[in-house]
Amino acid sequence: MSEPRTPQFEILLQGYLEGALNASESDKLLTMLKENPALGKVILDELALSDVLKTVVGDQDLRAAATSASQRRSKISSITNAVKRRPTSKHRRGTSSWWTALGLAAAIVLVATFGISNGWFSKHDPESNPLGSNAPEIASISLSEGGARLISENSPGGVALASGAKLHSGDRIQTNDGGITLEYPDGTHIEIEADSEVLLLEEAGAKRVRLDQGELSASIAKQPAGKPMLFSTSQASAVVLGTKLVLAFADNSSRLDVTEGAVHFETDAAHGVEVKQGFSALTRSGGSIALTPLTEPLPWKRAPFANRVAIERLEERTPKGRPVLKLSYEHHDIADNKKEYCMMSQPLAPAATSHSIRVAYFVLSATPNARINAVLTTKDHGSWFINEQNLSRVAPNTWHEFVVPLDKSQKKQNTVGAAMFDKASISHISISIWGGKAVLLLGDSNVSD
Amino acid sequence: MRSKMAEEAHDIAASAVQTHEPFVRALARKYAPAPGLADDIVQQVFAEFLAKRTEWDFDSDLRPLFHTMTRHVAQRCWREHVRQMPSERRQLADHIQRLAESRETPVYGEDEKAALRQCLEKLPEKSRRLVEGHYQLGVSSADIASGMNLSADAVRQALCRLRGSLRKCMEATLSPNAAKEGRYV
Repeated sequence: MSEPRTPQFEILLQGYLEGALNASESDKLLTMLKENPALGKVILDELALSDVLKTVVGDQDLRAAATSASQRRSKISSITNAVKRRPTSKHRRGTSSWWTALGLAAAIVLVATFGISNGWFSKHDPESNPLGSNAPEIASISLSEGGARLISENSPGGVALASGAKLHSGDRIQTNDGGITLEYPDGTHIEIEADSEVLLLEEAGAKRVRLDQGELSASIAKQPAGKPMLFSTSQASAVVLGTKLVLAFADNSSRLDVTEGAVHFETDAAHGVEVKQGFSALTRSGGSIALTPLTEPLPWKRAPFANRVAIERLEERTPKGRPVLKLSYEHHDIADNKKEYCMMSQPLAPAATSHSIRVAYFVLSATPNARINAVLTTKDHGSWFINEQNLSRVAPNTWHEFVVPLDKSQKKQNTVGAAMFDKASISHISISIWGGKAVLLLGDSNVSD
Repeated sequence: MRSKMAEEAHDIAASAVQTHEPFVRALARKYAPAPGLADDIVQQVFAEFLAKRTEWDFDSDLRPLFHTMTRHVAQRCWREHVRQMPSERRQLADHIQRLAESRETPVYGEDEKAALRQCLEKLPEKSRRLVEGHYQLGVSSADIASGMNLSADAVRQALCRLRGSLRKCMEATLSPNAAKEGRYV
């Protein structure tokens, strides 16, 4: 039998292994598999080898980096430099997964029986059993953006925290305008956001972090068997063995996003749930927990010719839980009668049954002349102006939908491509702000039938 | 005394998990052959196994038990996985699943993993970084390509060929007389 692997097969095979095949590529790969049964064994063997490679490569890094967190960071930095791009959360699979090290069994039991250990904090809160600064050093500040204070038994009024400061079990940290990053000796990192308050504890080598206010993100090295790390708010707890997560507490609600690994999350009122990689858990009034898939990063990108817009990716969400971008734009007159504007674009391919696109936006402030409009770009590079809204005339501080109809006759904006608008040929949607000064939040777009 | 017995029972269960992880992982791939699912399935099987650890007879062969548990968990997981797929991707996924169920799936035990580690260390620096970037950091071929001014297809092909080299190296590293029995499920 001839060698079944062709370059095209290899490309499709790798696409399948990355979950990145589109409909037409899936169809091509299926045809190949049906036409050449020998490829079936190849794809299964490759799937198996890929699966084990994730665990083996992750293991190697953990071994190599066990002694020094800074060495580990520099190793990761060298890898990312090699690929010149940081991975998105979507692509950060759990290669340092706690499943790869099989001392995990004991830890799993602890997770499964977490309820019995729910009293950790009440037993060791420094307010009832103060440890003060005589307690062992457990972590240090690796980065401080300023304004953070350390409150301990020895300094109840608090002292300013700077990079390099040592932290002890029982220390309480308050951040103000800026955030700080803590580093544990095992490489675990916690980023505490501005306006947050956190209590740090350690019990027999097990890390405990209580978030009383605000938000933190953590990248947790694999924890020793039987000593999972515990994060808690006043109403919920998360047990982790080695993962990446974001925990937020505000308005009496806790949110946990897990971007790698798995976390056991529970409230006093609800049964615990396993929050797997790619999911977000949100506590509701009454103590129930809602699980939703983690949202992907927003696809909006600044168009190359956009100008004078500050873009900030926020942790805030639309009412539907989607992430948002904050855009700050100020119009300036430019020469040659050219219009100045900022433009955010994303790919779009509506179905034949789609009749409109709805873009979520939220006006924080707008001067009378500030406007938002939409442009659809077709595959032949034609540009079609759709409609416009004066931002000063919409109610501020609430979410709106900017509706972009797809069936109306549209106004051609350039001289490129076909003269007639063809919905099937749409490749991108762009949203522009121009004419004044505006600060708004931009959500993602939804295609409606 | 009671605590010591509980500790012993726990150690036995932990040891069973450790021993059977490669077997369960291979079965997970057999019944749910899609990238990324094996971790979830293995995790769920062991969580269920440990939750009922007092019910099992640890003196008997646990493989039939793990086989049944893994099949059930994997089938559940697979149904969930394909439920939302567009039809073309679902047809492909179902075809691959039928292939997997009708064939033997390799079990990567400690020997195979050790051989693979050795082979990874022999890779040239650039190739090793590519493997680490993709498998450790989870960077997609498309993202690697855009960072290195290559086409995504070129990176996909390079990863495929690197795996081919690693496979050959691993097979050469493993003792030719190593028992084949138990290396497939």
